[in-house]
Amino acid sequence: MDLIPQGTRVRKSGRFFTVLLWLGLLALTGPAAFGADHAVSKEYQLKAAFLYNFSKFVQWPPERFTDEKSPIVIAVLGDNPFGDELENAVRGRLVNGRSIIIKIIDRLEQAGAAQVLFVEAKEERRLGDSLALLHRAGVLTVGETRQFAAMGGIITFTLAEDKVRFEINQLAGEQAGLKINAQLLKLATPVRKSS
Amino acid sequence: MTSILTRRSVSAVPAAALMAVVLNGHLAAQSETRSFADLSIEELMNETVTSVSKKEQPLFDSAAAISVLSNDDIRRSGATTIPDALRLVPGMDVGTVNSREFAVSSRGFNFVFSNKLLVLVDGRAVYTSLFGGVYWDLQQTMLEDVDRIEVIKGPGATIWGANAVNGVINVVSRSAKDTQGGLLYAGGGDVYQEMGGVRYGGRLGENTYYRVFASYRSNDDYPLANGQSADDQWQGRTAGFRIDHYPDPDTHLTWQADVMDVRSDISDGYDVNTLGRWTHRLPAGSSVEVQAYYDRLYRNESNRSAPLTDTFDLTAQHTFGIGDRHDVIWGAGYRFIDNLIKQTTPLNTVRDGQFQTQLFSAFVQDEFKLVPNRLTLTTGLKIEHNDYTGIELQPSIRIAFKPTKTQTVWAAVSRAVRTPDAVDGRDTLGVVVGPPAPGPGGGLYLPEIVGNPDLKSEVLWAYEMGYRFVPVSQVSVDLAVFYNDYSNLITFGETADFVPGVPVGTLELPWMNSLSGHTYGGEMAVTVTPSETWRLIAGYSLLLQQLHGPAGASRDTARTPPTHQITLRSSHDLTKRATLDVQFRYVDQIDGVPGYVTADIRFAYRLTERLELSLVGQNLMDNRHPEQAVSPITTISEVPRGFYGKLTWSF
Repeated sequence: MDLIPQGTRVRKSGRFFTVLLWLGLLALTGPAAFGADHAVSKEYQLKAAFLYNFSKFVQWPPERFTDEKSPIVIAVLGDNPFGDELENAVRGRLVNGRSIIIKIIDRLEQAGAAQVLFVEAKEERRLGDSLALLHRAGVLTVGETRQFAAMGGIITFTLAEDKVRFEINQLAGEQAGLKINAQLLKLATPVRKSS
Repeated sequence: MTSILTRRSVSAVPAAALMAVVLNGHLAAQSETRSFADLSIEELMNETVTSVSKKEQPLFDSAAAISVLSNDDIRRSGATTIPDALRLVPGMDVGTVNSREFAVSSRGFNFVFSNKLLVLVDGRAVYTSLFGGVYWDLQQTMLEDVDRIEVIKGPGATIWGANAVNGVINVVSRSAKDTQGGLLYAGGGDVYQEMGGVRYGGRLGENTYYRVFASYRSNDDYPLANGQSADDQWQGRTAGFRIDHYPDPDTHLTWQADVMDVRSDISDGYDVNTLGRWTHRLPAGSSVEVQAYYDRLYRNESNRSAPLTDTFDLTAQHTFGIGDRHDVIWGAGYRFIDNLIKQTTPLNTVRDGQFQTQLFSAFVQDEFKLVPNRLTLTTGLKIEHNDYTGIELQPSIRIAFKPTKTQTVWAAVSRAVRTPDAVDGRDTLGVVVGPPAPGPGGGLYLPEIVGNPDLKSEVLWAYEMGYRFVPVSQVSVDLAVFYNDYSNLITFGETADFVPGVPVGTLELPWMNSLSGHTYGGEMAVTVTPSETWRLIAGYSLLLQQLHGPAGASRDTARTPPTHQITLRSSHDLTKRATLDVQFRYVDQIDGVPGYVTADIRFAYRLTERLELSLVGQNLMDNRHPEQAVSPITTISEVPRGFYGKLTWSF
């Protein structure tokens, strides 16, 4: 097999590649100063809108609110992947007469006060055994990994062919005392019965 | 899923995101003038995640010239065929041959029988080993349900195998799960006279989804160069189904089948195929996939021949990681092809039309993260055994460097082969290429191209480099350059044998590995999103070719490509309901065909949430123009200006 092209061709392609390399270097040194600042990906823009929507389709036990006007709190544990998108999604919107507040929290202890807790992909290991506790406190837990679903989280985002989907663990929802609207259940991706 | 990305094992993520950030990221993310929070959950579920920073990485990082056309890109282009949609990709060379046929290639060697571009539809090779090419009129996949078209310019042979020399086109349709509900469209115009299609998707069980579909089209005659009708009008029909079954979260079973047919004055044909695929995820990011398909292709062409080809294909592949640094993908495949070719014209004499061929293949590729998130080295090798040339080796080495999160520099060296096909590689048939001419002894001899069992494969050594860059979130740049070194290029005319006969003898012109040479050039795409509702894409490609070979060797199989091609696209959301898309194309002259500038416009209006009206004008800049040069046994007609309207109803 002719692994090395013959002499003349090597020389030609050599010069060609010198030019390429220079082009490459130029490109590298020039614009590197820009970059970095990226808008929130569409995935999280969509997920933010989903989170807002979930709050419309879930009924919490009345004792979860101090009064009829007290807001719904959506908490994000750990790194906030939403940027300002979650704030933007709920700004000025009311759900059953309640406003919505977004809180970015560092510690799990702060989560009990929220109605909705979003757990970003790499934060789920921090949950440990506390999911059941959170559910007992009536928190709608939302995650985005298979591990989160396996741990018993209530709603888990999935991606299917480039679209955002979600699974609902109905049993976990019931244990949290939440009434999940039948329409939302219907839209959810079916979870394997045996699991 | 069979996708360029998963095949390359870049990552196990859904591949559709691919080039998103580079090609269509920002607009896609913001194309809705209203906030996502205004959308219902059903509407949110229909939005695609096109600019996910996590997910675009694989394509943004990949060490190959990959582009992706999304469903949205295809729909908004107004294209009704896959080749027309491919015109959107900078560096793709698409030429209309006649109303029914296209010449499609990238990086050169484009004509009606262009044979260096591998094309797959849902994992099934539609590149026919008969003549080395694609019957584009039999690829009537319903574009409404195509998820994306992945395009690699340059060789992809290490994974995809022989004939992925100048590029790979991978058409991926949506799963049944993602095409639930009904879709009905109907339209018509002066060139595309009638078009109609219907799809319905539902559930067969809790974890089982299906869709059934059927479509119809009829195209009018194109004009010849002299203005008269080429009588090349045709009708096409397709019908099929797809079932996706998810017995557990890690397993995906697909079964699909479709039948397509074409009817025209000079060429009828059909394709029936069925494919099954099983993919299973294993722990720690590894996965296995087994796929089998059967395909029957029949053509009856009064100017060529009538081949009937049955193909059985079985492949398996396994992806796994070694430590944190290595991702390995390996696989094996077997293909059996049964051919029966009948003669339809004395100008194409079938000499030996009944034969079987087999293809064995195996490949392995390792992706080594030299410096995680910075430097990745991908090496691979494909070994194939075919009946024409025996064992073929197709190695590649690719390196990708990410100096910053928003930049990727890559380089690659690879070897790819185009194996001889049934026409040039064996004594299957002879093609008469001219009138009888006097020869030795004063008798008349009919010049006829004949097969040559001693042919070697055409060999490409490709040297590529590329650069992707997102300087600010509104601008992205994708650049690739290449130097392709070809040898053993197959053509005819180097030698001629006079075979006496009565009343005329034959001047046999065997296919020979006569030509060698090189091409070089590059492709560039710049995407700018001036506002949330407006996206502009400019594409430019440069292609130069130098070949050498014996004086008599014909250059018909390696014609001069268009040196410059320019595309300009504007996608504009005028209001929440109305969209306007405009594209201009400049294609430089090729042998015997002048360069041309043309434009397509599509205006769409959403009458209701579920009903869309679109109006499309194509090839607007002139009454008609040719895009391909004269070829043997082929009608060459010109592309006329055309308009059509279409209503699409989803329910």
